[in-house]
Parts: sequence; C-alpha cells; structure tokens
Amino acid sequence: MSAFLAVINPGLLLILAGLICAFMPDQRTRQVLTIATPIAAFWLLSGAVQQEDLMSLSMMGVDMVLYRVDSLSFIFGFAFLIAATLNGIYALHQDDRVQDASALIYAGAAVAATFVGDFLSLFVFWELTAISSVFLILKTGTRAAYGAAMRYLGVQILSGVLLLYGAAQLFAMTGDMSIRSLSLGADAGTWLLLFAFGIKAAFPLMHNWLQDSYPRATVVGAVVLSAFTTKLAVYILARVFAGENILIWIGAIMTVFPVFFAVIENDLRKVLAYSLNNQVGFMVCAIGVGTHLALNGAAAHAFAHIIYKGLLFMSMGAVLYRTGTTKASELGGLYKSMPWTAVFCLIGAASISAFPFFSGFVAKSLTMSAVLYEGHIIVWAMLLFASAGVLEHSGIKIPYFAFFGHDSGKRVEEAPFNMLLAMGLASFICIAIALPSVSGFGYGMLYQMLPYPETAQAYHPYTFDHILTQMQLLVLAAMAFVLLQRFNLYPEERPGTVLDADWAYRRAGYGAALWSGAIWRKAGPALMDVWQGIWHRAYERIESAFSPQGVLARGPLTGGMAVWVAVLLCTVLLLSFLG
Amino acid sequence: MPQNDNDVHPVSTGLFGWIEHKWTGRIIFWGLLALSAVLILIDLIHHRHVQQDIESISGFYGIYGFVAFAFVVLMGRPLGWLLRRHEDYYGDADDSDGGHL
Repeated sequence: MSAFLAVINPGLLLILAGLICAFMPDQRTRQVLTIATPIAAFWLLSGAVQQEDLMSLSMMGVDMVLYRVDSLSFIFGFAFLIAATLNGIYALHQDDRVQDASALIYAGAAVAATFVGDFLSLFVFWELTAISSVFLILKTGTRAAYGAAMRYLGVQILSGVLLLYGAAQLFAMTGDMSIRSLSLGADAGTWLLLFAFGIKAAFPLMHNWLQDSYPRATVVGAVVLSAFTTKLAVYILARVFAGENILIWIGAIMTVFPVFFAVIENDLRKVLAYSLNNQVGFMVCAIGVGTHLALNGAAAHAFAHIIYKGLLFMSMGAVLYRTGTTKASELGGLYKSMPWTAVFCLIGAASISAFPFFSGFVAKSLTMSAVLYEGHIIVWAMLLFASAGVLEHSGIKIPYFAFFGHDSGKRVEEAPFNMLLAMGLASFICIAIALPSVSGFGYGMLYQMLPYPETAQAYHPYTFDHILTQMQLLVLAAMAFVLLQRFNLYPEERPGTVLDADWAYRRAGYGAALWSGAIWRKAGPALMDVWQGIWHRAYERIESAFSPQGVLARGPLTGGMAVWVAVLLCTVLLLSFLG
Repeated sequence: MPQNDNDVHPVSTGLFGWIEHKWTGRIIFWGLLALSAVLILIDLIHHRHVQQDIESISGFYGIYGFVAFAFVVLMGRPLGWLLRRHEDYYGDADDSDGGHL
C-alpha cells in the first residue's frame, strides 16, 4: 500500500462515500458503495502502522492527531467496519438515498472518532455521529419518530457540548488536548468528560434517549444505530477512564435495572434497546475494574455484542418489515412463515445469553472472571443476576413471543434474501469466534485481536468447570421459565407505555413548561398590570420629589438655603468668639 | 394448527415441524428437568476450582439462575401495574389517527 493511503483515517473514506451517496440517484451505485467502502476502509486500516501518529496537524495552538491506531482502537474500528458491511447488505432491498448516506456517514464518523488522538477531533466526529444518524429515525415519518428524533438530537448534542467544555477546561489546566488516561479529580474538566461519555453510553438516568429513539427508527435504521453510538462511548471510556472505581458500580447498576423494564415492555425492539443498555453495563463495569483481563473483556464483549445485537435487531427488523409491528402482544407463531429469520434470531439469542459455543460465552467470561479475581463479590452477584435476566428478555422473550408462543395467525413472506444473507453472515461470525480454538480458528481469532493478547492467550474459557457453571445458570433459569409458563405465572404481553426516567422530562418537565405557559397566558396580562402599576407609581413618586418640577426643587428653597447656611455660620463664629 | 397450511413456509416444516407434535411440551419440560438434575448431580460429585467461597456451594449457579429468573418474571406483574400506562400516554402513539406527518 502506498504511503499516502496508509495515513488516511478509514472513517474519512466512509464519510466521503456517504456524501457521494447523498447525491447519487442510481441505486446500483449506492449499493456498491455501501458494501465496498467498509471493505476498502478495512484494507486501509490493515495497512496502518500501530502506535504512531499517522496524520496530525496543528491548529490555533492545539495539536490534533487525526489518525492513530493501537490494539484497543483497532478492535473497535474493525467491529464497526464489519457492522457497516453487514448493514449495507441488510439495506440492499431499499432504494433510499438519505438512509444510505446517513448510515455510511454515521459509521464513518464512529470509525474516525475511534482513531483520532485528541479531544478536539473527537468532538467533531462525536457530533457528526449525532447529526448524521438522526435521519435514520426521522425517515420513519411518523410524528412519534419526529419527536423521538428531536429528543435524540438534543441529548446527543448536549453530550458533545459537555465534551468540548470538559476538554477546554482540561486544556486550560494542562495545555494538553491529547486523548489519554485521566483520573477523576477535583477539577470539573474530567467530570464533564465523564458526563459526556456517560450520556452516549446511556448510563442509568441518562439512558432514555436510547429506548426512546431506537425502537422508532426505520427497519434498517435501528440495526445501524445499535452498532455505533454506545460502543464508541465504551471505547472512549476504556481509553480515558480505565480503572475508575465509580464505573464498576455504574456498570453493575446498568446491567440490573434494564432487566426489569425489559420484562414488562411489549415492543420487542424496545426490549432489545433495554437489553443493549444491560450489555453495555457489563462493558462499563469491566472498564471500571481496569485490569488487563477486564479490559480484554470489555473489548471482546463490545466486538461480540456489536454483531449479535445487530443480528437481533435485524431479525426484529425483518419481522417489522413483513408484519408491520414488533409488538409482542400482536406477534407469535411466525416460525411458520419466517423460519430462516427464526433460526438466525435464535442464534443471536443464544449468543447474547452466552451459551457455550456462542460468542457471548467467550466474551462475557473474561469480564466475569476479572470481576471475581478482583474480589468484587456484590458486583459479581449483580452481573450474574443480570446474566439470568439477559436469558429472560433476549434469550427467551424475543424469539418466543415473535416466532413461537401463541400463534397470532399472521402468515407473511419470509424476509428478503439480502436480509437473510446479512443475518446469516452475522450468525456465522457469532459462532465462528466462539468455537473452541483449533489451529487458529475459533475464539483464538477474537482473543488475538484484544488489547492485551498475551493475557487473553493465557485465559481458557472452555474449562469443564466453566461450562458446567454456565450451563447450570442457563438451564435452571430456562427451567424457571417453563415452570412459570406452566403455572400461568408469566405475565401476559400487554400493550402500553412503560414509564421510565424520561417521564421526568417528557411528562413532568414538559407538563411544567406547558403549565407555566398556560398560567402565563391566563394570568400574564393581570400580573403585568400589577407590575406596571407598581412601577408607574414608584416612578411618579420619585419624579414628584426629584424632578426639576418636584417638591425638592420647588420655590425659594435654593435661595433660602444659602441664607440659612450663612446665618448658621455666623452663629457658630459668634459662639466660638464668646467661648 | 395453522388455519391455512398453504401459507406455511416449506422450510418451517423441516426445521420446526416437531413443535406441532403433541408430546413436544412434555419432552421439553421433562428434558429440562432431567438436564437440571444431571447438572446439579455432577456438581455434587465434581470438585470445582473456585475463586470465592460462595461459588463452592454445590449447585450455586443453578439455584441462583433459577431464583434470579423467577424473581425477574414475578416482578413483571407488580411493576406493570405500577409503571404501565395506556399506549398514547405521551400523546404520540403511532397507531392513532394522524400519527403520520
């Protein structure tokens, strides 16, 4: 590869292709671009020299590093490029310039952000991920999607602003803009950065933009969205805040609470959004632990997760595409008309539930072991609880209520071939990177890409004990499902809106704004009258006293004053002589 | 049974035909029960290498998984009662008339 090509950030290539797509009327050309560009980008990436600033420039006294690759950024960038390729295949059936362009620019921004070396460049691509991806939600064309898209954009832009503000504070204190390992201290800068990353990673109480917007995105849009934003935040957290203890707890809480929402949520794409939250929690927790094993766990989990979560969103997208809904209460029995989609969904479900021989198993094991080795028993128990929860909502609920369970009587066509192909490839990856390692094939392929490959090679996921304990957890949890079903204790799927923390701004905050607006409209004129009356009277008083026509300026006052001052002086003089 | 067999995908019969069988439910139930028992039994005989004391309890993972799963599902009803509102709670349900822009 020529020296010129080897220093181009592969993300920029995707962004360029996206811009071409935006103005390209010919569908065939766009199809080629959406699939070929990520592959070309990977070719660029594979030729890059690691641990070196490959492209940098200095602007306004700030050193910007536009391209730098190391083992941590490589695995995230690689996963993003695989996702972009699969998304391109999944979207082949649709003739939509805006979505093709949006998906490519969004993926490009995420890839570019992964390989930059300073906070200013990160800010640019950070905001670009928000601005480019919002079209994937808007294109649904409903009022609900429009509202969700605007809330999504607002929250994402806020995250970018906090990032810029935090980086500026940091720069003012240290004069260094480079992305580096930081520790949370007394200064506001690092906390602002944590908040910025936290919003994008959907930390607890900052998570609702995700469940609000992803289920309202288009069929292809939700698949595309699921891959990049949160995992970009995971990457940057691993880069900047590895080993921060607070992340252990944030991550652990993040794995547990979505489990409860997922069980009562009726929209299966929203269930997947909660499940995404829960999975990112495992990664955040591992980053908080911060050992080599744990960081390997976070990276491996992110890689595996990008593929299997994309696969699950693809299967639900196919269901939505064919039936027009992803509501569990309206689905069921779809295995009869969409058997291939059902098989791929089951593979995704087994992967996320971490069954042996599926990708979640080899990835999550690293994190679970790291947490246990460091002696965080309570956190470990929370993660184990969340693992049973994952089996509930993603392992069983998603495939069961969509494809099996009560037959809805819906008889539709199987998903289009390109969708099946994308799901098939994703399924293949889920299994290929999870098989016991034989001559380089199997989980060894994943482990050798991890940030600390030596630590990874010393770890063996397929021990008898490990398979036994994991199978116990999963089989007995599945047993609980069967028993609960048999005794009719499993809550039936019911349509409805489930309240979450976004109630605070969507209902309470919005309500307060509406209420104060209404009050102002009603009472405003009267209040203004009172205020103007008070002000008017005060003005009149002041004017009547101090103006040239006022009391103090009236009549002989000025002359009289001088006379009296003279009289007073005389008196004082007289008295002093006499004294 | 489907109302209209002609609409069933041919692959479905091969892949998932067994689901229709009247014994399937029972086989899954007893099969899982047997598998659970075997997994716990192995744990009783086999001495696992553990990091923390709590792990060494025989069948710990199985019991924990069972209890956690049941707890999550059983919380579904009270939580649903507490948190579930009608679909158009925020006034933007997609199904309502005029939902499209």
